[in-house]
Amino acid sequence: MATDQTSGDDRRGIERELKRGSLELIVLHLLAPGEAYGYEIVSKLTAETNGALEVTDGTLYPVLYRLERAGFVTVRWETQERGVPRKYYRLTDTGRDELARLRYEWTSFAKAMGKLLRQGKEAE
Amino acid sequence: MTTADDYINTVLDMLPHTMPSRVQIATELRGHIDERLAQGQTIDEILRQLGDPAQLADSYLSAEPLVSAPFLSRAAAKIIDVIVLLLVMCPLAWALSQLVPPDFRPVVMLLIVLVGGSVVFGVYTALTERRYGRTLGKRMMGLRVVRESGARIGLGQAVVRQLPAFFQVYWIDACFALFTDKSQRAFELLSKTRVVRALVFSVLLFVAAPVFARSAVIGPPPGALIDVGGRKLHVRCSGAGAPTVVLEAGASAFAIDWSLVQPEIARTNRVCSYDRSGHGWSDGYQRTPSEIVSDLHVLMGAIGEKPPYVMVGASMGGIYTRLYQAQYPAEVAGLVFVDGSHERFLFTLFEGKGVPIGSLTAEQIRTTIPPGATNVPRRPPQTGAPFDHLPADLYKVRIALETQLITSVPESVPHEVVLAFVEGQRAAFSKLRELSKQEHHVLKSAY
Repeated sequence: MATDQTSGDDRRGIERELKRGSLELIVLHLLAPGEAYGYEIVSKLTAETNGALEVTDGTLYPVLYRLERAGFVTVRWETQERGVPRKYYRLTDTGRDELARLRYEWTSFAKAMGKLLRQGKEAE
Repeated sequence: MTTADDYINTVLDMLPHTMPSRVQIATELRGHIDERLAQGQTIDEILRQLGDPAQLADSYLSAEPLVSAPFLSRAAAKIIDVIVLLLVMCPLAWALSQLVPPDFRPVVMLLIVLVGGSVVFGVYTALTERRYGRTLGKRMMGLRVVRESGARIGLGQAVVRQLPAFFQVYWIDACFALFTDKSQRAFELLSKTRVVRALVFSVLLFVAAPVFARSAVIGPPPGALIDVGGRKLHVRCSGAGAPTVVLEAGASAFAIDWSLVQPEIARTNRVCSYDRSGHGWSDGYQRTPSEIVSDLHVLMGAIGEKPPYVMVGASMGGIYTRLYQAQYPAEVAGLVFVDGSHERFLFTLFEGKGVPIGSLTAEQIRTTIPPGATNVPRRPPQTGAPFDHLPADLYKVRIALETQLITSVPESVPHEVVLAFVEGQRAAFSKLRELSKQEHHVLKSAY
């Protein structure tokens, strides 16, 4: 019972870490075409993946904040005619480098995993 | 609507008061909720998508690096707290011991200091750590008590932290901090809390920089230094011809920012640029809008300029020129706005919403300022466009002036100073708001 619990936690842990690692890539990628504000990024993500990534709004904003603190994006506030001002995000040069690095890492990881899983299938 | 406010407040409540970006986080979340509401989603749905507020706060805080407090500074903080406690408890114990016969006095005094002192100490520490994240001693040593995630601690945690003193095992408990990974005491491991350095990284860099930069780069003032009553303000006038044009720079901007504009105007008119108090080559500290305006009035009188003036306000300067017009209507012939600010768009966070500062009352603005001193986040000076249009030497001076301006504000500003400053702004903005009550105003800014 106790061991089941632990392995369950571990599995969820791996999923969480995978998602967390990929979130920065996702957000940097979505910002690559140009400036966008928080809600715009959130809705773009849902629209372009049909919600398959199951990323909640609540996980995305802290990612934006982390990217800002790390210097990968710069921000600008824009006041609205009505309502709350909007915070616009834009990639910095180091942000673009980071995006390129993460893209490369992700594709080599996906390639390696694909190769591994295909081999496993042939063995069956 | 209250649930959205509750949600945001719950998140804010878990972020430390010293976190510079609290207000921005709240404004962005509020913006998100509003956008979703506008899409026709229900508030319940929206908040579910945002998830558990505690988890949201934790994720925000995971972006902030936590540096464990060194053992010795923790010990020093504790010693400071104990000294303060003794300063309070000893006179109290002496006074109370006068109520009993002389023979018992030493015993009673000792009892009051030891037993009463520990209780007072425990309660004081738990309450201040819960409320402000630090005791007086921790504050002086630049330390903060947080959850392991970096979030503010709860009351339960604050109490558990104080239990070792209650059980008289403080010394054993404290020794754990010497060996554990994150320098935690045993009861900190138990309460899932830790003591870290307060968020002041990168500040030191900017404090250190201008000390070297100042004399070398900034050099002598291009204009004259004129006494306006104990302080000297820097002003530079050129050209001839009425009316005199007065150039009012924006926030974090200086007289030299007009260097490319002033010579053009000087061909046909008398024109003056100046540095507000605390800016550029001008003495003093940064002042409230109405003080800024009366400073300018005194300054123009002192150098013998003849009103009425045509006033040019860039960005925030547009607020000051309108205020000048409101305060000295006879002295203003016309107003020109260069991307002028408008009080309608100068926001603060009130009850979870971004609202114009000028729309609040003095009592309301008071509630928007967190208790205790406010940590002013240091930012680097602005570079690039449009400032790099200045001649190369002036561009360098400008960066040095702005660095000097940023570092002239102390890292930690006392509550009453913040309050006076914000109230000054509020009063000015609401005064201007009164002028444009009809919504249609004869004066139009860039917005």
